Amino acid sequence: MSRILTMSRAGREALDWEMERRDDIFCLGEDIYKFGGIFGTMDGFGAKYGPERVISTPISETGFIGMAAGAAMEGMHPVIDLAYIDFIGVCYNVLLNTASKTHYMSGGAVKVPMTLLIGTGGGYNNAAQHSQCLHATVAHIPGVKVVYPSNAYDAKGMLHTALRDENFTIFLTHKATAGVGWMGTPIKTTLSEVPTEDYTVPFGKVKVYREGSDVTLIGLGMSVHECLKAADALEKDGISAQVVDLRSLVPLDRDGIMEAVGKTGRLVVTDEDYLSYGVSGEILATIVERDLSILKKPPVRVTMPDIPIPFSRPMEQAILPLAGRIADAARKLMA
Amino acid sequence: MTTPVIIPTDLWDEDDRTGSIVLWLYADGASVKQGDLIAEVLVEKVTLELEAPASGTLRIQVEPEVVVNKGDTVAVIE
Repeated sequence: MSRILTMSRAGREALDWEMERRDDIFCLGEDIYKFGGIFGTMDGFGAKYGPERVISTPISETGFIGMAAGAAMEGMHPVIDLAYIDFIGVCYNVLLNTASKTHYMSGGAVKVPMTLLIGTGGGYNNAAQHSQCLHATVAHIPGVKVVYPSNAYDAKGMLHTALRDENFTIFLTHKATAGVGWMGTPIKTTLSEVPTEDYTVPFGKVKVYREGSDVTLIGLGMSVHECLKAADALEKDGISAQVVDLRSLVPLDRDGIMEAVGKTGRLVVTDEDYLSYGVSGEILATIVERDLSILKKPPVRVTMPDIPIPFSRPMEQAILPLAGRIADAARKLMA
Repeated sequence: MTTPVIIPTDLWDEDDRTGSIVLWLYADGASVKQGDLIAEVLVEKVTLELEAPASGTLRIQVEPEVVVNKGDTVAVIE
């Protein structure tokens, strides 16, 4: 039996493995040299790899994201710990026009191999500017891959894949899934048995966490774990729920989505990002465009509403896509 | 022969603080090697590491989220 790891430890193991063998990888971010980053992804790396490869930056995302893109164009593979996705606004020009477009604009001559690690999401009373998911906001940009593992096995394998990619990847982790002490006891379903050797998990394939025949619950990041809790509750009511993890937003496994939804014909899409103009709408649009006849009932979306996320715990809990809301939506589809 | 897995008295500095197991990195009954990282212990939002004092089969005695003190036996290795 192999070791059970948190997502944080699993990701760190992948990054450490690659850094031990490749001089082109270096780390950038706030509080990484001594502290290892807020999610512990680079824990101990300062002492192991030294200040040239583990660079603690000032609070100057605009500057160091540009520095990273420049280094990547010159053949390095920077790994940036951006902490929270709420800070991405000040990185946007480099994301939108440089890191994601240079490969295309140079006719393939210049590659931009860089990996941007970002924590997303709320549920721990950190208010409107430190609780957002915003994954749709980055997945909308052509030229960047966006992945979103929800368990330790996928975190390690997908980070190996990102670090070996010849272009730009945004690697998202929901804070509550990372398994870091300051977020409380790790959620059991985020923990996995993780091989000590290196392996890759390819981008662009959904993962069916749990088979079911009555209703399909689609999630990503933290909402996968809420779907699993909802599926347990539904089972007690005699409803068999299938749980699907998107795992990757760009590329998006549209075939996998069709296949999963086709098995039940009833769909609840969950997403902790805002309701409008997002991933949940993209999934419904895919089904409508490809084959509307697979649906037995109109699908339901359980997402964050389009409002700033409240600090107040009861108010935040009321709007998060938690298991209770997901199970209620599924029960209505079965009625 | 069994070896107790004890929270070392120098794992954290302050004597008046308690901790709790965050997670066991091996399941109950798994085989572990001496020096393997086997558990995370949380003290005041800081995560500390517990290593296997011997090789053998891990028998977990204290589950996560239960208060532990320095010197407590939290598992044995058979």
